Amino acid sequence: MVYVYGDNIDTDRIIPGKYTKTLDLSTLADHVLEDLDPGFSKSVQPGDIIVAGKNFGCGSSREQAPLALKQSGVSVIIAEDFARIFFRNAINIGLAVLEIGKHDIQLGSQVEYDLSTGIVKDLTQDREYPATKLPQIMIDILEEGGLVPYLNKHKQYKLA
Amino acid sequence: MGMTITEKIMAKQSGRDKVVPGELVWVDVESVMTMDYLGKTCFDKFRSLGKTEVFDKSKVICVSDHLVPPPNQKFATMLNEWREVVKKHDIEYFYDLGRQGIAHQIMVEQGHVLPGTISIGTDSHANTYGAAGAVGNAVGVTDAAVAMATGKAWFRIPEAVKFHITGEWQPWVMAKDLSLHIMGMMHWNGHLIYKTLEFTGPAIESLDMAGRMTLCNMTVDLGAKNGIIAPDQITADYLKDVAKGDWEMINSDEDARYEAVYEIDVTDLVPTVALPDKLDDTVTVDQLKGTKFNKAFVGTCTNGRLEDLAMLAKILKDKQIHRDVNMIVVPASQTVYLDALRAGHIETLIMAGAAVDTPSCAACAGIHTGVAGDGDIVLSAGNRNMKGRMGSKNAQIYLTSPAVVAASAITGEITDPRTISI
Repeated sequence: MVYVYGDNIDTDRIIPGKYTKTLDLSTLADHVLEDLDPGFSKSVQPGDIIVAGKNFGCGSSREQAPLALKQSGVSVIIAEDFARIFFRNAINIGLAVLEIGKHDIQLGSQVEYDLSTGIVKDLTQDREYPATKLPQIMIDILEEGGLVPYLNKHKQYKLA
Repeated sequence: MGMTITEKIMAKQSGRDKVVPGELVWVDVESVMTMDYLGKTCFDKFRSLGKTEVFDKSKVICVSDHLVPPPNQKFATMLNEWREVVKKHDIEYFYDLGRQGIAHQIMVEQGHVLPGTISIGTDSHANTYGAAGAVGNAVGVTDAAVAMATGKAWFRIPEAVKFHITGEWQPWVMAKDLSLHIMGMMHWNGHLIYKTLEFTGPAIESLDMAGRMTLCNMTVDLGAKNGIIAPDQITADYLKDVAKGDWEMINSDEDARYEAVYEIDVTDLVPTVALPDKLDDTVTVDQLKGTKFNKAFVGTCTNGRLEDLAMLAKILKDKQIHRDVNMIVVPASQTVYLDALRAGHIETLIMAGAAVDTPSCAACAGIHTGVAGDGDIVLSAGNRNMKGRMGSKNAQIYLTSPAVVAASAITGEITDPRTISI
């Protein structure tokens, strides 16, 4: 399933601040996007995709925002562009993010993506969007499930 | 071709002669800051890397600011867990309740941020550090945990945008008005995302550290990676007694490359207000004349400094806050609180009918000390006005400068501070 949202979806709408003052991260997914889309946390299935407009994840630096989305089962966020802290937090915790610029993907469309080529395909409208290519190190970090598992396995990393 | 101040700092801290935008670098960090409600998670993540000792016990800075003083048992218990983990790691600088302040204020005021260096913190307004001629960057707990273990963080060298600020600051116009003006001018339309914003020009050179901190603080809300002001004599005077290490005054080269340069003359700048829910929906104060509100709030890492409290006291001296307005003032740190007390500002504010509370993030974090309820209309000198930010999603938050909050608190309606008599 593809969920589509607009511009400037801030971290308070992804996971309200009042739920982040806890050490029990497993409860986050119950409240993800609850003010923006109250049915989301009940209907989301593993592998679902979120598509958004500009500046996705603006606001606070809370890592719980991408974490809540990842825990809910979302596999990738595809947006026109991302707020920078959200972008790096998402990679650090192993949630894929793809920037595709202006798009016309609609709610419920069939969408496929490939991190290694950076191609997003809207099968419903038969359109292709090339995403800004992620550096290989970031793809590797995502494949390991985040920076901590990556470092634990590889002990160090090279940036370029 | 030359480099910008941010490029030069990133080159220096990554051991390179030159860096260019887009490059990924692994830099040395001066300080890593984390706070009460995230700190335990941060240390847990640090330990999941197989580490028990932080890279430098004097460079991991721990601050209690969001949850203090605890308004309920849950937060009291979280704070106890936090204190335990800080103690266990033998952290040298722990600013806990009693010596507390908002983390970003503490980082600059206590000299943990130094010109020519890079510091990171697990809260979005770490951009504030740019006021000290440093690169200040907000990160999540994973980045902070890795930096606590290694003393390093990765960055992509950002493209630069310059704001050249000229003219004379007018009475009652503050750095906050410039921040909000830029917010309205640039919007959240994506073209400042990931950028480094550099503020230059005579109106920046004449700005005090408090104003510089306000300006750099809100660059995160423009989507920027960092905001920075070249260090000068004002920076050096501020840091000389508090700096926790050596620093280097680094400035941009004359032939540095900027993606865009915007010129703003502050002579024409007037008090500015952001309308509820959207930071970039700004108007000049005169357009809201007569708008009623019931809560006034001044504090936060954006506007809780001595100069901000002095502005409130100047306007509220021998005046009374309107009977329909509840005003809360929360100094940004214990140092600010004590300085304001000694200067007589706290007495002035209490005489005028304001409630003054102990330093913390207070209602700006939406969890205690004056949170907003259903139907509240808040006039705030904080930094964010999204729905639910200060508590109820059925409250409205107007954001503005301390001067506008003070002038308006007297009349009970949004009021241009230039129209009041003091």
